[in-house]
Amino acid sequence: MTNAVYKNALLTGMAERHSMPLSHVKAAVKEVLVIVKDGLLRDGSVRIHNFGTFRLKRIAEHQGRNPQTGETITIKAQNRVVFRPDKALRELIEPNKAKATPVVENTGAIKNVIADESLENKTERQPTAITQATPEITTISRPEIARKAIEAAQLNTEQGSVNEEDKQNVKPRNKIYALGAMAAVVVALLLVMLQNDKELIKQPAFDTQTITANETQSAPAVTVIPVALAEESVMTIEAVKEHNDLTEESIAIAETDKEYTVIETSPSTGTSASIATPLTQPNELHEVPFFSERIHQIMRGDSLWRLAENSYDEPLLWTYIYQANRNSIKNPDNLHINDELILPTLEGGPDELTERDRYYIAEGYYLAHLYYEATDNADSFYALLEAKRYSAKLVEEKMSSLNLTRLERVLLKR
Amino acid sequence: MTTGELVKQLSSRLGITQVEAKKIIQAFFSEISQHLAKDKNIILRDFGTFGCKQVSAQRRFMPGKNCQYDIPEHKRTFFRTAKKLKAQLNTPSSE
Repeated sequence: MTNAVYKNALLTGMAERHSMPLSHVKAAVKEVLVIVKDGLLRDGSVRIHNFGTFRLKRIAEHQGRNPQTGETITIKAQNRVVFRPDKALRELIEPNKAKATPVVENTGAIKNVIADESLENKTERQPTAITQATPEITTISRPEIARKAIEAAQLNTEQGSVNEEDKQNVKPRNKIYALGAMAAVVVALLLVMLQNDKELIKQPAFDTQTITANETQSAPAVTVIPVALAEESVMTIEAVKEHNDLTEESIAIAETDKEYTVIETSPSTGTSASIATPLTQPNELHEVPFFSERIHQIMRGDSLWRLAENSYDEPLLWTYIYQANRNSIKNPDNLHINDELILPTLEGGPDELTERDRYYIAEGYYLAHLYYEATDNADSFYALLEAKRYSAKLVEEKMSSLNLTRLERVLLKR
Repeated sequence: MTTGELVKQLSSRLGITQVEAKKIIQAFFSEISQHLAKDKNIILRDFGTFGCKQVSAQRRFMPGKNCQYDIPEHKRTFFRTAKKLKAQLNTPSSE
Protein backbone atom coordinates (compact mmCIF):
# COMPACT_ATOMS: atom_id res chain seq x y z
CA MET A 1 0.00 0.00 0.00
CA THR A 2 1.69 3.14 -1.15
CA ASN A 3 -0.43 5.60 0.75
CA ALA A 4 -0.22 3.74 4.06
CA VAL A 5 1.59 5.26 7.00
CA TYR A 6 2.73 2.95 9.74
CA LYS A 7 3.26 3.71 13.38
CA ASN A 8 7.00 4.08 13.11
CA ALA A 9 6.91 6.66 10.33
CA LEU A 10 4.11 8.49 12.04
CA LEU A 11 5.94 8.72 15.33
CA THR A 12 9.29 9.75 13.88
CA GLY A 13 7.57 12.56 12.00
CA MET A 14 5.78 13.58 15.15
CA ALA A 15 8.95 13.53 17.24
CA GLU A 16 10.78 15.66 14.71
CA ARG A 17 8.01 18.19 14.42
CA HIS A 18 7.58 18.68 18.14
CA SER A 19 11.29 18.13 18.97
CA MET A 20 10.66 15.31 21.40
CA PRO A 21 12.79 12.24 21.94
CA LEU A 22 11.48 9.36 19.79
CA SER A 23 11.73 6.76 22.52
CA HIS A 24 9.71 8.96 24.82
CA VAL A 25 7.03 9.43 22.19
CA LYS A 26 6.84 5.72 21.41
CA ALA A 27 6.40 4.78 25.03
CA ALA A 28 3.75 7.45 25.51
CA VAL A 29 1.75 6.49 22.43
CA LYS A 30 1.79 2.84 23.41
CA GLU A 31 0.29 3.83 26.74
CA VAL A 32 -2.26 6.11 25.04
CA LEU A 33 -3.57 3.25 22.91
CA VAL A 34 -3.87 1.00 25.94
CA ILE A 35 -5.72 3.71 27.85
CA VAL A 36 -8.11 4.18 24.92
CA LYS A 37 -8.82 0.44 24.89
CA ASP A 38 -9.42 0.40 28.65
CA GLY A 39 -11.62 3.45 28.35
CA LEU A 40 -13.71 1.73 25.66
CA LEU A 41 -14.16 -1.27 27.87
CA ARG A 42 -15.00 0.79 30.90
CA ASP A 43 -17.20 3.60 29.51
CA GLY A 44 -18.08 2.35 26.07
CA SER A 45 -16.86 5.56 24.48
CA VAL A 46 -13.70 7.64 24.31
CA ARG A 47 -13.95 11.21 23.11
CA ILE A 48 -10.82 12.97 21.98
CA HIS A 49 -11.04 16.68 21.49
CA ASN A 50 -10.48 17.92 17.92
CA PHE A 51 -10.21 14.38 16.68
CA GLY A 52 -13.28 12.23 17.16
CA THR A 53 -15.15 9.70 19.23
CA PHE A 54 -14.54 5.99 19.52
CA ARG A 55 -17.67 4.19 20.55
CA LEU A 56 -18.28 0.59 21.39
CA LYS A 57 -21.33 -0.71 19.61
CA ARG A 58 -23.06 -3.89 20.60
CA ILE A 59 -24.11 -5.95 17.60
CA ALA A 60 -26.74 -8.58 18.37
CA GLU A 61 -26.56 -12.10 17.09
CA HIS A 62 -27.82 -12.25 13.51
CA GLN A 63 -27.93 -14.38 10.39
CA GLY A 64 -25.38 -13.86 7.67
CA ARG A 65 -24.26 -15.65 4.55
CA ASN A 66 -20.99 -16.97 3.40
CA PRO A 67 -20.42 -14.94 0.25
CA GLN A 68 -18.59 -17.81 -1.47
CA THR A 69 -20.90 -20.72 -0.74
CA GLY A 70 -24.09 -18.86 0.04
CA GLU A 71 -24.84 -20.92 3.13
CA THR A 72 -26.41 -19.27 6.13
CA ILE A 73 -24.21 -18.67 9.14
CA THR A 74 -25.12 -17.41 12.56
CA ILE A 75 -22.93 -14.46 13.45
CA LYS A 76 -22.36 -14.21 17.18
CA ALA A 77 -23.14 -11.12 19.18
CA GLN A 78 -20.10 -8.89 19.36
CA ASN A 79 -18.72 -5.47 20.21
CA ARG A 80 -17.58 -3.27 17.36
CA VAL A 81 -15.66 -0.03 17.50
CA VAL A 82 -17.30 2.83 15.66
CA PHE A 83 -15.30 5.97 15.01
CA ARG A 84 -16.99 9.26 14.29
CA PRO A 85 -14.67 12.11 13.31
CA ASP A 86 -15.05 15.44 15.06
CA LYS A 87 -16.20 18.54 13.21
CA ALA A 88 -12.64 19.87 13.29
CA LEU A 89 -11.30 16.70 11.67
CA ARG A 90 -14.05 16.61 9.08
CA GLU A 91 -13.32 20.19 8.09
CA LEU A 92 -9.61 19.49 7.95
CA ILE A 93 -10.16 16.55 5.60
CA GLU A 94 -12.71 18.26 3.41
CA PRO A 95 -12.59 22.05 3.84
CA ASN A 96 -15.18 23.01 1.23
CA LYS A 97 -17.69 20.27 1.55
CA ALA A 98 -20.74 20.92 -0.63
CA LYS A 99 -24.08 20.59 1.07
CA ALA A 100 -26.82 18.24 0.02
CA THR A 101 -29.49 19.99 -1.99
CA PRO A 102 -33.11 19.00 -2.44
CA VAL A 103 -33.81 17.68 -5.91
CA VAL A 104 -36.94 19.66 -6.71
CA GLU A 105 -39.01 21.80 -4.47
CA ASN A 106 -42.58 21.10 -5.40
CA THR A 107 -44.11 24.47 -4.82
CA GLY A 108 -47.70 25.27 -5.49
CA ALA A 109 -46.89 27.45 -8.46
CA ILE A 110 -45.69 24.55 -10.55
CA LYS A 111 -48.62 22.34 -9.69
CA ASN A 112 -51.09 24.84 -11.09
CA VAL A 113 -50.15 24.06 -14.67
CA ILE A 114 -53.18 23.66 -16.83
CA ALA A 115 -52.06 22.00 -20.00
CA ASP A 116 -55.57 21.43 -21.28
CA GLU A 117 -56.94 24.43 -23.07
CA SER A 118 -60.54 23.33 -23.05
CA LEU A 119 -60.39 22.78 -19.31
CA GLU A 120 -58.91 26.21 -18.89
CA ASN A 121 -61.83 27.74 -20.74
CA LYS A 122 -64.26 25.81 -18.59
CA THR A 123 -62.77 27.20 -15.43
CA GLU A 124 -62.91 30.70 -16.81
CA ARG A 125 -66.57 30.50 -17.74
CA GLN A 126 -67.59 28.31 -14.90
CA PRO A 127 -71.29 28.82 -14.24
CA THR A 128 -70.77 28.68 -10.49
CA ALA A 129 -72.21 32.15 -10.24
CA ILE A 130 -75.48 30.97 -11.68
CA THR A 131 -75.65 27.76 -9.68
CA GLN A 132 -74.90 29.71 -6.56
CA ALA A 133 -77.41 32.40 -7.31
CA THR A 134 -80.41 30.30 -8.28
CA PRO A 135 -80.73 28.01 -5.25
CA GLU A 136 -81.59 31.05 -3.19
CA ILE A 137 -84.90 31.13 -4.95
CA THR A 138 -85.51 27.54 -5.98
CA THR A 139 -84.41 25.54 -2.98
CA ILE A 140 -86.22 27.73 -0.54
CA SER A 141 -89.37 28.23 -2.52
CA ARG A 142 -90.09 24.80 -3.99
CA PRO A 143 -90.54 22.74 -0.84
CA GLU A 144 -92.40 25.62 0.67
CA ILE A 145 -94.67 25.83 -2.33
CA ALA A 146 -95.43 22.12 -2.16
CA ARG A 147 -96.08 22.19 1.55
CA LYS A 148 -98.22 25.26 1.41
CA ALA A 149 -100.11 23.93 -1.59
CA ILE A 150 -101.08 20.84 0.44
CA GLU A 151 -102.11 23.04 3.32
CA ALA A 152 -104.09 25.17 0.92
CA ALA A 153 -105.84 22.09 -0.47
CA GLN A 154 -106.77 20.99 3.06
CA LEU A 155 -108.03 24.45 3.82
CA ASN A 156 -110.03 24.38 0.62
CA THR A 157 -111.92 21.23 1.62
CA GLU A 158 -112.53 22.45 5.15
CA GLN A 159 -113.26 26.12 4.60
CA GLY A 160 -114.34 26.57 1.02
CA SER A 161 -115.86 30.02 1.35
CA VAL A 162 -113.01 31.61 3.20
CA ASN A 163 -110.53 30.24 0.73
CA GLU A 164 -112.45 31.57 -2.23
CA GLU A 165 -112.28 35.02 -0.72
CA ASP A 166 -108.61 34.61 -0.20
CA LYS A 167 -108.24 33.33 -3.70
CA GLN A 168 -109.92 36.39 -5.12
CA ASN A 169 -107.77 38.59 -2.99
CA VAL A 170 -104.55 36.84 -3.67
CA LYS A 171 -104.89 36.04 -7.32
CA PRO A 172 -104.47 39.53 -8.72
CA ARG A 173 -101.77 40.39 -6.19
CA ASN A 174 -99.82 37.34 -7.20
CA LYS A 175 -100.11 38.14 -10.84
CA ILE A 176 -99.11 41.71 -10.22
CA TYR A 177 -95.98 40.61 -8.44
CA ALA A 178 -95.11 38.14 -11.19
CA LEU A 179 -95.70 40.78 -13.83
CA GLY A 180 -93.68 43.27 -11.83
CA ALA A 181 -90.80 40.82 -11.62
CA MET A 182 -91.01 40.16 -15.35
CA ALA A 183 -91.08 43.85 -16.10
CA ALA A 184 -88.08 44.48 -13.87
CA VAL A 185 -86.14 41.72 -15.58
CA VAL A 186 -87.06 43.02 -19.03
CA VAL A 187 -85.94 46.49 -18.00
CA ALA A 188 -82.72 45.04 -16.67
CA LEU A 189 -82.14 43.17 -19.92
CA LEU A 190 -82.78 46.29 -21.92
CA LEU A 191 -80.37 48.18 -19.74
CA VAL A 192 -77.76 45.51 -20.27
CA MET A 193 -78.29 45.57 -24.01
CA LEU A 194 -78.12 49.33 -24.10
CA GLN A 195 -74.98 49.39 -22.06
CA ASN A 196 -73.42 46.77 -24.25
CA ASP A 197 -74.13 48.85 -27.28
CA LYS A 198 -72.71 51.96 -25.76
CA GLU A 199 -69.84 50.03 -24.23
CA LEU A 200 -70.20 51.78 -20.94
CA ILE A 201 -68.21 49.19 -19.15
CA LYS A 202 -67.16 51.39 -16.30
CA GLN A 203 -70.66 51.68 -14.86
CA PRO A 204 -71.63 48.31 -13.54
CA ALA A 205 -73.87 49.64 -10.79
CA PHE A 206 -76.93 48.52 -12.73
CA ASP A 207 -75.91 44.93 -12.12
CA THR A 208 -76.37 45.11 -8.40
CA GLN A 209 -79.53 47.11 -8.82
CA THR A 210 -81.23 44.61 -11.06
CA ILE A 211 -80.36 41.66 -8.93
CA THR A 212 -81.44 43.27 -5.71
CA ALA A 213 -84.63 44.38 -7.41
CA ASN A 214 -85.28 40.80 -8.50
CA GLU A 215 -84.70 39.61 -5.01
CA THR A 216 -87.04 42.01 -3.39
CA GLN A 217 -89.77 41.23 -5.86
CA SER A 218 -89.32 37.50 -5.92
CA ALA A 219 -89.52 37.27 -2.15
CA PRO A 220 -93.14 38.39 -1.91
CA ALA A 221 -94.02 36.24 -4.89
CA VAL A 222 -93.00 33.23 -2.87
CA THR A 223 -94.68 34.30 0.31
CA VAL A 224 -97.96 34.89 -1.46
CA ILE A 225 -98.13 31.43 -2.96
CA PRO A 226 -99.10 29.62 0.24
CA VAL A 227 -102.73 30.54 0.19
CA ALA A 228 -103.16 30.05 -3.54
CA LEU A 229 -104.57 26.89 -5.08
CA ALA A 230 -102.44 24.13 -6.52
CA GLU A 231 -102.98 25.29 -10.07
CA GLU A 232 -102.01 28.77 -9.22
CA SER A 233 -98.88 27.61 -7.47
CA VAL A 234 -97.86 25.66 -10.54
CA MET A 235 -98.31 28.77 -12.57
CA THR A 236 -96.28 30.81 -10.17
CA ILE A 237 -93.57 28.16 -10.17
CA GLU A 238 -93.41 28.54 -13.89
CA ALA A 239 -93.35 32.25 -13.50
CA VAL A 240 -90.56 31.98 -10.98
CA LYS A 241 -88.77 29.60 -13.31
CA GLU A 242 -89.05 32.00 -16.17
CA HIS A 243 -87.97 34.70 -13.88
CA ASN A 244 -84.96 32.61 -12.88
CA ASP A 245 -84.09 31.95 -16.47
CA LEU A 246 -84.20 35.59 -17.20
CA THR A 247 -82.04 36.46 -14.26
CA GLU A 248 -79.63 33.75 -15.35
CA GLU A 249 -79.50 35.30 -18.76
CA SER A 250 -78.88 38.73 -17.40
CA ILE A 251 -76.19 37.39 -15.09
CA ALA A 252 -74.63 35.40 -17.90
CA ILE A 253 -74.53 38.46 -20.11
CA ALA A 254 -73.05 40.50 -17.35
CA GLU A 255 -70.44 37.80 -16.75
CA THR A 256 -69.29 37.30 -20.28
CA ASP A 257 -68.98 40.93 -21.11
CA LYS A 258 -67.72 42.62 -18.04
CA GLU A 259 -66.72 40.16 -15.42
CA TYR A 260 -63.63 42.06 -14.39
CA THR A 261 -65.04 45.55 -14.32
CA VAL A 262 -67.96 44.43 -12.19
CA ILE A 263 -65.63 43.01 -9.67
CA GLU A 264 -63.44 46.03 -9.46
CA THR A 265 -66.04 48.73 -9.09
CA SER A 266 -69.18 47.26 -7.54
CA PRO A 267 -69.43 47.41 -3.77
CA SER A 268 -69.51 44.04 -2.07
CA THR A 269 -73.16 43.99 -1.14
CA GLY A 270 -75.97 41.57 -1.79
CA THR A 271 -75.80 38.69 -4.22
CA SER A 272 -73.83 40.56 -6.84
CA ALA A 273 -70.70 40.26 -4.73
CA SER A 274 -71.07 36.51 -4.30
CA ILE A 275 -71.60 36.21 -8.03
CA ALA A 276 -68.63 38.32 -8.89
CA THR A 277 -65.99 36.88 -6.57
CA PRO A 278 -65.53 33.43 -8.16
CA LEU A 279 -64.62 35.10 -11.39
CA THR A 280 -61.81 37.17 -9.96
CA GLN A 281 -58.79 35.37 -11.29
CA PRO A 282 -56.86 37.76 -13.49
CA ASN A 283 -54.16 36.04 -15.49
CA GLU A 284 -50.77 36.60 -13.97
CA LEU A 285 -48.01 37.62 -16.29
CA HIS A 286 -44.93 35.46 -16.27
CA GLU A 287 -42.04 37.42 -17.60
CA VAL A 288 -39.46 34.93 -16.37
CA PRO A 289 -39.39 31.71 -18.41
CA PHE A 290 -41.01 28.79 -16.66
CA PHE A 291 -37.72 26.92 -16.66
CA SER A 292 -34.39 28.45 -17.59
CA GLU A 293 -31.70 26.36 -19.21
CA ARG A 294 -29.22 24.46 -17.09
CA ILE A 295 -26.86 21.57 -17.39
CA HIS A 296 -27.69 18.42 -15.52
CA GLN A 297 -25.27 15.65 -14.68
CA ILE A 298 -26.96 12.31 -14.96
CA MET A 299 -27.21 10.48 -11.68
CA ARG A 300 -28.30 7.09 -10.68
CA GLY A 301 -32.04 6.64 -11.16
CA ASP A 302 -32.44 9.45 -13.67
CA SER A 303 -34.62 9.06 -16.69
CA LEU A 304 -35.71 11.56 -19.31
CA TRP A 305 -39.29 11.11 -18.16
CA ARG A 306 -38.44 11.89 -14.56
CA LEU A 307 -36.16 14.80 -15.50
CA ALA A 308 -38.92 16.34 -17.55
CA GLU A 309 -41.35 15.84 -14.71
CA ASN A 310 -39.00 17.45 -12.22
CA SER A 311 -37.99 20.41 -14.34
CA TYR A 312 -41.06 21.12 -16.47
CA ASP A 313 -43.72 19.43 -14.36
CA GLU A 314 -44.85 17.60 -17.45
CA PRO A 315 -43.22 14.21 -18.04
CA LEU A 316 -44.44 14.09 -21.60
CA LEU A 317 -42.04 16.92 -22.40
CA TRP A 318 -39.18 14.41 -22.19
CA THR A 319 -38.89 14.52 -25.95
CA TYR A 320 -38.02 18.18 -25.50
CA ILE A 321 -34.88 17.20 -23.58
CA TYR A 322 -34.24 14.41 -26.02
CA GLN A 323 -34.36 16.77 -29.00
CA ALA A 324 -31.95 19.17 -27.32
CA ASN A 325 -29.45 16.37 -26.63
CA ARG A 326 -29.87 14.44 -29.86
CA ASN A 327 -26.10 14.28 -30.36
CA SER A 328 -25.20 12.91 -26.95
CA ILE A 329 -28.10 10.51 -26.42
CA LYS A 330 -28.08 7.49 -28.65
CA ASN A 331 -30.85 5.63 -26.92
CA PRO A 332 -33.25 7.65 -24.76
CA ASP A 333 -33.93 4.58 -22.62
CA ASN A 334 -30.26 4.18 -21.83
CA LEU A 335 -28.59 7.15 -20.15
CA HIS A 336 -25.07 7.02 -18.83
CA ILE A 337 -24.22 8.17 -15.34
CA ASN A 338 -22.05 11.33 -15.16
CA ASP A 339 -22.93 12.36 -18.71
CA GLU A 340 -24.11 15.92 -18.97
CA LEU A 341 -27.46 16.84 -20.37
CA ILE A 342 -28.76 20.23 -21.42
CA LEU A 343 -32.17 20.91 -19.97
CA PRO A 344 -33.46 23.52 -22.42
CA THR A 345 -35.37 26.63 -21.47
CA LEU A 346 -39.11 26.29 -21.34
CA GLU A 347 -40.74 29.49 -22.51
CA GLY A 348 -43.94 30.89 -21.16
CA GLY A 349 -45.65 30.78 -17.84
CA PRO A 350 -46.99 27.61 -16.26
CA ASP A 351 -50.45 28.14 -17.64
CA GLU A 352 -49.54 28.61 -21.25
CA LEU A 353 -47.88 26.24 -23.63
CA THR A 354 -46.26 27.34 -26.81
CA GLU A 355 -47.01 25.65 -30.10
CA ARG A 356 -43.65 23.90 -29.91
CA ASP A 357 -44.37 22.55 -26.43
CA ARG A 358 -47.69 21.21 -27.57
CA TYR A 359 -46.00 19.53 -30.48
CA TYR A 360 -43.53 17.81 -28.21
CA ILE A 361 -46.22 16.64 -25.84
CA ALA A 362 -48.15 15.29 -28.79
CA GLU A 363 -45.03 13.51 -29.95
CA GLY A 364 -44.76 11.90 -26.53
CA TYR A 365 -48.33 10.67 -26.81
CA TYR A 366 -47.66 9.44 -30.30
CA LEU A 367 -44.70 7.38 -29.10
CA ALA A 368 -46.85 6.08 -26.26
CA HIS A 369 -49.39 5.06 -28.87
CA LEU A 370 -46.75 3.14 -30.79
CA TYR A 371 -45.66 1.44 -27.60
CA TYR A 372 -49.17 0.46 -26.64
CA GLU A 373 -49.82 -0.82 -30.11
CA ALA A 374 -46.67 -2.90 -30.08
CA THR A 375 -47.57 -4.37 -26.70
CA ASP A 376 -51.15 -5.02 -27.90
CA ASN A 377 -52.71 -2.68 -25.43
CA ALA A 378 -56.29 -1.60 -25.97
CA ASP A 379 -55.58 1.97 -24.93
CA SER A 380 -53.38 2.75 -27.91
CA PHE A 381 -56.04 4.79 -29.68
CA TYR A 382 -56.65 6.96 -26.65
CA ALA A 383 -53.00 7.97 -26.67
CA LEU A 384 -53.50 9.08 -30.26
CA LEU A 385 -56.57 11.09 -29.32
CA GLU A 386 -54.53 12.78 -26.63
CA ALA A 387 -51.82 13.51 -29.18
CA LYS A 388 -54.41 15.08 -31.43
CA ARG A 389 -55.70 17.18 -28.58
CA TYR A 390 -52.28 18.74 -28.19
CA SER A 391 -51.26 19.00 -31.79
CA ALA A 392 -53.48 18.14 -34.74
CA LYS A 393 -50.55 18.95 -36.98
CA LEU A 394 -48.51 16.03 -35.72
CA VAL A 395 -51.36 13.55 -36.14
CA GLU A 396 -51.87 14.75 -39.69
CA GLU A 397 -48.21 14.24 -40.37
CA LYS A 398 -48.26 10.73 -38.99
CA MET A 399 -51.66 9.85 -40.46
CA SER A 400 -50.22 8.01 -43.45
CA SER A 401 -48.06 5.74 -41.31
CA LEU A 402 -50.84 4.88 -38.87
CA ASN A 403 -52.74 1.66 -39.12
CA LEU A 404 -56.27 2.64 -38.18
CA THR A 405 -59.77 1.34 -38.66
CA ARG A 406 -62.36 3.43 -40.47
CA LEU A 407 -64.13 4.34 -37.26
CA GLU A 408 -60.90 5.51 -35.70
CA ARG A 409 -60.14 7.66 -38.71
CA VAL A 410 -63.53 9.30 -38.44
CA LEU A 411 -63.04 9.88 -34.74
CA LEU A 412 -59.65 11.40 -35.32
CA LYS A 413 -60.86 13.76 -38.01
CA ARG A 414 -63.76 15.00 -35.93
CA MET B 1 -13.79 8.86 28.78
CA THR B 2 -12.67 12.26 27.56
CA THR B 3 -9.33 13.87 26.73
CA GLY B 4 -8.98 15.23 30.26
CA GLU B 5 -9.18 11.80 31.81
CA LEU B 6 -6.83 10.41 29.19
CA VAL B 7 -4.31 13.09 30.10
CA LYS B 8 -4.57 12.32 33.82
CA GLN B 9 -4.12 8.59 33.33
CA LEU B 10 -1.16 9.07 31.00
CA SER B 11 0.59 11.45 33.36
CA SER B 12 0.11 9.09 36.27
CA ARG B 13 1.28 6.06 34.30
CA LEU B 14 4.43 7.67 32.89
CA GLY B 15 5.16 9.95 35.82
CA ILE B 16 5.09 13.10 33.73
CA THR B 17 3.21 16.33 34.23
CA GLN B 18 -0.31 16.70 32.83
CA VAL B 19 0.86 19.54 30.56
CA GLU B 20 3.42 17.27 28.95
CA ALA B 21 0.94 14.43 28.67
CA LYS B 22 -1.60 16.72 27.02
CA LYS B 23 1.01 17.97 24.59
CA ILE B 24 1.91 14.42 23.56
CA ILE B 25 -1.72 13.36 23.14
CA GLN B 26 -2.61 16.42 21.10
CA ALA B 27 0.49 16.00 18.96
CA PHE B 28 -0.29 12.34 18.33
CA PHE B 29 -3.90 12.81 17.23
CA SER B 30 -3.17 15.94 15.21
CA GLU B 31 -0.42 13.96 13.44
CA ILE B 32 -3.00 11.35 12.47
CA SER B 33 -5.35 14.13 11.32
CA GLN B 34 -2.65 15.67 9.15
CA HIS B 35 -2.00 12.37 7.42
CA LEU B 36 -5.72 11.75 6.96
CA ALA B 37 -6.04 15.13 5.29
CA LYS B 38 -3.36 14.00 2.82
CA ASP B 39 -5.46 10.92 1.93
CA LYS B 40 -3.14 8.53 3.73
CA ASN B 41 -4.15 5.42 5.59
CA ILE B 42 -2.70 5.31 9.09
CA ILE B 43 -2.05 1.80 10.28
CA LEU B 44 -1.50 1.35 14.01
CA ARG B 45 -0.60 -2.28 14.58
CA ASP B 46 -2.87 -4.10 17.02
CA PHE B 47 -5.10 -1.09 17.30
CA GLY B 48 -6.62 -0.31 13.91
CA THR B 49 -6.51 1.62 10.67
CA PHE B 50 -7.67 5.16 10.03
CA GLY B 51 -8.48 6.11 6.47
CA CYS B 52 -10.57 8.12 4.08
CA LYS B 53 -12.90 6.87 1.41
CA GLN B 54 -14.20 8.79 -1.54
CA VAL B 55 -17.98 8.49 -1.74
CA SER B 56 -19.56 9.21 -5.10
CA ALA B 57 -22.54 11.48 -5.57
CA GLN B 58 -25.89 9.96 -4.71
CA ARG B 59 -29.54 10.79 -4.67
CA ARG B 60 -31.13 9.89 -1.41
CA PHE B 61 -34.52 10.23 0.18
CA MET B 62 -34.40 12.13 3.45
CA PRO B 63 -37.26 10.93 5.63
CA GLY B 64 -37.08 13.99 7.87
CA LYS B 65 -37.40 16.42 5.00
CA ASN B 66 -39.71 14.12 3.04
CA CYS B 67 -38.01 14.79 -0.25
CA GLN B 68 -35.10 13.60 -2.32
CA TYR B 69 -31.68 15.14 -1.93
CA ASP B 70 -28.71 15.29 -4.25
CA ILE B 71 -25.73 14.40 -2.12
CA PRO B 72 -22.49 15.57 -3.76
CA GLU B 73 -19.41 13.41 -3.72
CA HIS B 74 -17.51 13.62 -0.47
CA LYS B 75 -15.03 11.84 1.76
CA ARG B 76 -15.89 9.52 4.56
CA THR B 77 -13.47 8.82 7.40
CA PHE B 78 -13.39 5.28 8.67
CA PHE B 79 -11.71 3.34 11.41
CA ARG B 80 -11.14 -0.37 10.98
CA THR B 81 -10.49 -2.15 14.23
CA ALA B 82 -7.50 -4.48 14.37
CA LYS B 83 -8.17 -8.12 15.05
CA LYS B 84 -6.31 -8.08 18.30
CA LEU B 85 -8.18 -5.08 19.67
CA LYS B 86 -11.47 -6.58 18.56
CA ALA B 87 -10.60 -9.82 20.35
CA GLN B 88 -9.70 -7.90 23.48
CA LEU B 89 -12.96 -6.02 23.39
CA ASN B 90 -14.91 -9.24 22.95
CA THR B 91 -13.38 -11.33 25.72
CA PRO B 92 -16.00 -12.87 28.02
CA SER B 93 -14.87 -10.65 30.87
CA SER B 94 -15.76 -7.56 28.87
CA GLU B 95 -19.39 -8.56 28.42
